Amino acid sequence: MHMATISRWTLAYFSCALVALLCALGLMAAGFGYPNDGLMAPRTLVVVHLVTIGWLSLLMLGALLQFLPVLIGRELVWPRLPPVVLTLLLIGLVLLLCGFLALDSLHGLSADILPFGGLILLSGFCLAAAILFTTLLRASSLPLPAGFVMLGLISMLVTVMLGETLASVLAGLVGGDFSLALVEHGVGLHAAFGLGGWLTLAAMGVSYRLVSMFLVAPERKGTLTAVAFWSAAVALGALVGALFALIATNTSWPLGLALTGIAAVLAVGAYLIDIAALYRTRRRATLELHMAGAVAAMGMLGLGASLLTWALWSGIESALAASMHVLSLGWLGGLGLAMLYKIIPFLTWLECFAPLMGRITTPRVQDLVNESRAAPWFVLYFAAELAGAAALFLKVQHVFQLTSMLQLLGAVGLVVQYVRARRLADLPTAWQNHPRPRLILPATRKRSVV
Amino acid sequence: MTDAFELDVRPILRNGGEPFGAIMGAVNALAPGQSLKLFATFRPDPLFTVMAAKGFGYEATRLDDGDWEVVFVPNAQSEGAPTSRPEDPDSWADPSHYLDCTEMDPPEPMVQILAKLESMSEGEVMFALLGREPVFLFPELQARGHAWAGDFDAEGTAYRLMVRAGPRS
Repeated sequence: MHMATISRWTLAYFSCALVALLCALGLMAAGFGYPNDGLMAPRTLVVVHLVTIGWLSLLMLGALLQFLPVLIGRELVWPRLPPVVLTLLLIGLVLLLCGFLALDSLHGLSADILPFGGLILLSGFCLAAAILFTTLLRASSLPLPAGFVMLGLISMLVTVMLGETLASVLAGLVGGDFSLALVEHGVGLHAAFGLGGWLTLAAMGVSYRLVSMFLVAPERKGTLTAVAFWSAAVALGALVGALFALIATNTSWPLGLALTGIAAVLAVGAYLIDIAALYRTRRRATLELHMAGAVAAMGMLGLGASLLTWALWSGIESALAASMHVLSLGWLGGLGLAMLYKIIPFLTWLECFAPLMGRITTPRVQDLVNESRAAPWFVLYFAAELAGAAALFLKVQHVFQLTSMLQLLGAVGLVVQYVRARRLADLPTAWQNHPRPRLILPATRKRSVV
Repeated sequence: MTDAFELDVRPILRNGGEPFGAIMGAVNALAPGQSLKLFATFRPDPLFTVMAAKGFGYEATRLDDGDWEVVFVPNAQSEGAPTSRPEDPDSWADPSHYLDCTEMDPPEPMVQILAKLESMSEGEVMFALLGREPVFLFPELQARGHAWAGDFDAEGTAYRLMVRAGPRS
């Protein structure tokens, strides 16, 4: 039988991811990276990778370990490997960041750490992909949301391999015309595969299932879902073509990139319209806070994608930076924070109260949170995102630091809410004395004595 | 053969009520071999699955005013119940408890099913209809020693779940 148990390591992934988010926002608030430094400066790359690997990739992998089995109705294979993956990714990330700092020649480190860290990251991501792919292949049928996740995982592998090649070039291990071409054209591809192919497609896939589950709405199986999926597949295919063109000829392939852009816009448009329809067909009349937060995040996807299109068209660097900020911290980060506000209480509720269900009155999942206390932090986070993007676009360093500080404050406020949910701190008095679960590692469930 | 028992649930439906309990009450009151003639304002598809599990075939006719008349006829039964084994759903007794969870918001189906199971003795079987596959329920069923079998109906819209209660813990 297909069943979904609590993934033991998911909360550990989430915790590390949240720490990375707070560090990244803290660095931005301290004036580290763009716009103080250049868009490709090592210090900017530190912040960017802290966000994309530390925060977003760990968050997404933690979520996939829990929800891929739900998506396809199969248990996760090799349940002992997730902590190994997490360890590899954390070590790899720390070394990578040290490598970037070495390039900045501030710390007396050797730049060779950069490709070395990249190699460890590569092994971690490959292992994660192996677990998730093998689980996916055991499904009897692949619903479209799982198809998105599959495209996302392929992109993840391409991103990491391309990143490792770039790291080798930056560390001076690879030279020649290829290295020049790679630095000139490969960074954009690396970012497109990472933010677009990996994180955005996986987020789309997971959100299709989570949104319908949390809203109690029928799953989307219509034309729009298919248009979103196949446009995304075409965009990714064209991007792979552009990558091969770069490898083969050391030049970029404008036609492929244009095709990627058009197909990606189509995919994002179809996805947003489809999700709007999903919200309209929901049975739950009142929108819970996490679903309202998800609406804000999806608005950020529309805004970020439009801004990115315009930035690539006009070639304005600060517009590109602003669009990246909106896509990574507004869309993906905002969606992540909103989903965590449901996923953490839900997993905690399952862990603490499923064994008692039917025997005594148990609280509802909503009883584990206090929405009126959390709502202002979401508002602060998203408002600071908009203001921060504007400050980046206008290159007003001090305002950007201020908005980053406010965004950090919003994120800290939300982390406090997650911890409160985990600690059962907001439960009604009837359950105030219920034993608290461990903060990060849930206890394994034993078969009850019959 | 006894005449079919007639049950008109249209007044209940028009008042926005849920006729499932009334129907099950009528089914349980049927004499052996007796049919049930049901009047409803729509074609009650989910009910067909439930009744099939209880050993009834059906004949649905659309009436002139758009309502439906359904006659549930019991299948000829072989006597002599075999021993019920948890690992073999074919050997289970006919369901004696029914839950329609299709209109419930998660996690209410999980709570209702587990609560109902607490009141059942070992070997009794429950039939539940759900709007989606209850993937988070299964580990709990396993942990409590219940056996289950389930699948989606042909349209893929309702999940049919049979649970055989395990020993009382």
